[in-house]
Amino acid sequence: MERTQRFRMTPARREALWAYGLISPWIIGFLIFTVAPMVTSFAMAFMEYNVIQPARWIGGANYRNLTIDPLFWQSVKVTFTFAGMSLIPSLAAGLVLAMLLNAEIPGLSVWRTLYYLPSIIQGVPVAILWGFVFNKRFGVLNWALALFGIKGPGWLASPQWALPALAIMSLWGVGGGMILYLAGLQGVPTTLYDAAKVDGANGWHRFWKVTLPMISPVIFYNLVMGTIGTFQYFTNAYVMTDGGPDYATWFYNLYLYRNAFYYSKMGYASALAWVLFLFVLLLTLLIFKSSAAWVYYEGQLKGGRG
Amino acid sequence: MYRQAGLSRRHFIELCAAGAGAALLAACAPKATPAPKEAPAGEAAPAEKKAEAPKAAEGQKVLIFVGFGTGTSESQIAEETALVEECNETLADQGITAELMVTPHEEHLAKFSAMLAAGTPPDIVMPIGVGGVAELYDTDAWLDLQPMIERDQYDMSDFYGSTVTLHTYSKGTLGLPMAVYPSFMYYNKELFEKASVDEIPHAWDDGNWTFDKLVEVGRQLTLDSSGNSADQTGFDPTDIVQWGYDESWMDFAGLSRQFGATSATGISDDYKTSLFDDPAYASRAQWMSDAIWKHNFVASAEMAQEAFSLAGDPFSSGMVAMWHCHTWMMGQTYAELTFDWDLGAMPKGPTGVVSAQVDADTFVMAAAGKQQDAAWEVAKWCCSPGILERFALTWGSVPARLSGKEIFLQTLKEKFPGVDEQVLLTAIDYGDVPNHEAWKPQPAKVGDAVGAAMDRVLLGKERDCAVIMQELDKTVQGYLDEYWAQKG
Repeated sequence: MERTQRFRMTPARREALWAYGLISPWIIGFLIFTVAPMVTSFAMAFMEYNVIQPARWIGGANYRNLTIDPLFWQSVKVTFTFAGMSLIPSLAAGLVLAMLLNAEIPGLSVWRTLYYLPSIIQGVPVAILWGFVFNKRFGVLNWALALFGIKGPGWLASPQWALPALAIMSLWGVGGGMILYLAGLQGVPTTLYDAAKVDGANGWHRFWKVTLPMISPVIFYNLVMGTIGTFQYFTNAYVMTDGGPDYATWFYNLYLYRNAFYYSKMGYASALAWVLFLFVLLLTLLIFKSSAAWVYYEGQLKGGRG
Repeated sequence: MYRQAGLSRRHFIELCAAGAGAALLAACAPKATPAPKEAPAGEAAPAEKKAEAPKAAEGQKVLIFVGFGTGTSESQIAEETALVEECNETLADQGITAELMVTPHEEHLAKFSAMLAAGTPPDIVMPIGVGGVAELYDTDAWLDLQPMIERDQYDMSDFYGSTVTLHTYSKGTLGLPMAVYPSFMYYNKELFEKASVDEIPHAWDDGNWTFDKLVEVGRQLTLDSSGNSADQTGFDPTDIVQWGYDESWMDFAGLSRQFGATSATGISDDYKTSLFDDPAYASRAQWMSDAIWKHNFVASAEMAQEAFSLAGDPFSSGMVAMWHCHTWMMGQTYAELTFDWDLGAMPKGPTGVVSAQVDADTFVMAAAGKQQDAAWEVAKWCCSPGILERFALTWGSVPARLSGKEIFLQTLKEKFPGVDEQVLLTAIDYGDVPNHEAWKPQPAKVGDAVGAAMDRVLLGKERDCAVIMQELDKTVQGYLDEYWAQKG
């Protein structure tokens, strides 16, 4: 007997297939330009490859060499030190700015725009601009310090001050975080502040007991993104100090870039990239793990699933 | 009959396959090549005679990669483009068209390597220095030109002899000399006059012009903000406004030849041993360290950043009396200097050596190039008399052809009247051959290590340079061992 039954799809399945069909250009792009390079770099980390000559399998030698490479450890030290110097001040500065700009002051939109603007102006021109700011003789920073009788250092030429200088410069981008804090602050119900006032809470208590817990998800988000961003720090160091003086700004990504595109050691650079991925993953997991203790989600019960 | 209105599994798969296919086709489609330009009737014959050379196939496009060295500024690109257009007119009868591909210097290695790996290398790289050739020397990226030189009986006698040697390797002749950048002492005549100090010698064989004398003159020309010179009591080394000397743009290993170092690269002839433990290197570094921290006539890294960063280079700032550097600057900004300056010889080192490191540019051809004969014709045209001089002057260098000397001198006199051009030409004879930029294992890593060691000298973090050189020696030896271990 002739088989007449035809395959029929449910409307939901049809809809799903349409969706996949429509996003297939993105999926193809993702597979070719993201997944394939990731897989390739994972394999390349076990090879010696200079792009020009055929790759040669060397097993775990690249990873072993990392452990005895003083420049690798210097780059880890510099990156972690920089994270310690810049991350918390940047988060705090963003929050302070957001709180100031959440107040009712004249020209609020203009102020918000002004403080947000630097965060969208980034890259080489900004690095050059800050190079002038940090100049020992005619830089505006030393000029400002001189007003208080302080003789500023040669920021970028000094091994002691080059990294702090870049940390100061990282405040340039706090506008991005500020906007998120601002959105968080405006989402805090005013009834909570009213209730706190009735209970006799002063300004500090209201900030500590109401504002901070209510915007803790935004702080958490900014912390995660800031951590990832800090470990990917590159352009400013590349343009302003190129890792110097005396390896004082030898950032991890700078060393990775140098290995890939200057020393033509693609295999070693790939190993560095995967170790960086592990560093960031580990730190992000730690932050996520710690979030249970300090991030408050409205409606979520302690220990429950919300 | 029921008709399925939605998307079937088959259609979905077909849709995805079509999308993937279209994407792949778009990615892999060959770039459209414009039809070759027809040769204009009655076109002049090419400059070089091609005896038995096989004629390049018709309609070939020769890609010239610019980015390994100089040649990437806006004005240089304009001049290079004009020259390439002339080249195309001249070689039109052979169906050869040259095209420039200018890449920012920071991206040159990544871009060139990627093109090579993709099987579409540029045909010519130009200008490229000894250091640029070294970057890819051990990957066999460059073509040995010797068979072509012999086949065409190409006349090499018109080039400065030392420049030919600079491009000759154990793997063959990798380039024809195009441009030479000798180094010498620029000096600010006005600062000498104000300090009532005799100008430095122009003769390269002046036995009295030594490094000790340089210290003496340098100190006389170094002033603090109160006008005291470094050799006077009351001089304040923390408030210097004018320095006697600077050499911060020079290669340290090359400079060490002045103090008797046997290698300008710091590496043995068999490339297996670091020579930075040779006392000559420590002695040369110590001279520099003392010049900064003891005699105070050279700016430290911190002082230099403070004083010279706006001007672009130490000499242009007008705050440095003597500056050891190459001809590069004369091709760029020195026509606009607002003070009187001239050129002088380098002093004699403690072992009696007079050395002034030299840079040299050439062209190289990709060994994997698919149209090497056409590329060779273009390269020969670029190196031909009358043309080579124009390239060299665009790049701020001395043309590598002896016959180009007159044109060069004439241009120099027009651009820099009063400058002693003989100092510049004689400097070529005191150049470092083998060269400080010559290939060594892991050239970029070794270069970084040497740079970091010099950072320590310029920062004053360690005043005993024997210690710095011992550490450098250990680091560089590590790189050499690593390289040879990988080579098996």
